[in-house]
Amino acid sequence: MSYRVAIVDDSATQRSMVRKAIGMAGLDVGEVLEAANGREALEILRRDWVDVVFADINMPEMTGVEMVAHMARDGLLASVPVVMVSSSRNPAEIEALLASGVRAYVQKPFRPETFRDVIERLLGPTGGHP
Amino acid sequence: MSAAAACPQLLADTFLHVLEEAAFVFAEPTGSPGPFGGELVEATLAWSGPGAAELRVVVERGFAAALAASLVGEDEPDHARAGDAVGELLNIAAGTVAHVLSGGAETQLGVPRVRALAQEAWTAERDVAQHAVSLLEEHGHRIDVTLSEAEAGAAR
Repeated sequence: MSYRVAIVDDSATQRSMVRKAIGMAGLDVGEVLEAANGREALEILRRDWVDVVFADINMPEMTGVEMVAHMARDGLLASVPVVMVSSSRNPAEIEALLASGVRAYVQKPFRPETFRDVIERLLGPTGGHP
Repeated sequence: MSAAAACPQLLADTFLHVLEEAAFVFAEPTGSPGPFGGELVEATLAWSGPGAAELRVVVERGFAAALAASLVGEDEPDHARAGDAVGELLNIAAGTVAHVLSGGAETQLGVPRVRALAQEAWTAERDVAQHAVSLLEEHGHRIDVTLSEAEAGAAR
């Protein structure tokens, strides 16, 4: 079974970097959906199911934190795990993110194995949307 | 050593690390950089909170296109994403710099702003920055980084 993944970041370069890292991690990723901000991501997620969302924090229109809050209030999206990908190194901020419902945090710059570890921890080694 | 005195080293170390880890680009600090060639790309990012400041990175446009390709493992320079790539490298580096200068306190990072810049304009701006370092990539491309303390509360 392949994973379906959403990548949310206002930087097209960063979205490509995450996509590349996930690919290099040796994971079976079937489809990757992309959005440039939280608002776009919500529109996509309400149409298409994904197994996990990788999102930046600071984005125009709707931040990653705001997106997570909206997802938590949505009966359909509340169970979709969100992983924040950010350059922040502040332990208090990271702790607050995890307390708000973010399931994991990946710090930039990242390595492919970090994504493999996170996805396998959240979804299991053979998890994925049938 | 005070934070201000350690700043140039912090900037150099951070950007060298980010360039290597994210883009597989190897560089070293230089005290005597040669002139830039051609149009420049400048990315700026500010943050608020303790140690609020504005960080800038400047490279030649051609090198920015090469960076854009390196970041995603491609060979051909990506001119369409040149600015975005420089902004993203700055974003990655800013997380570390802001964290160190704030003493670990919470800061609010802004969003990178990218623009084209002429060499003369950059020379003038670099001269008034509080801290400035130049790096030289292994193939001779120059990378300039500056840091200036922002007004209290400034972020975006």
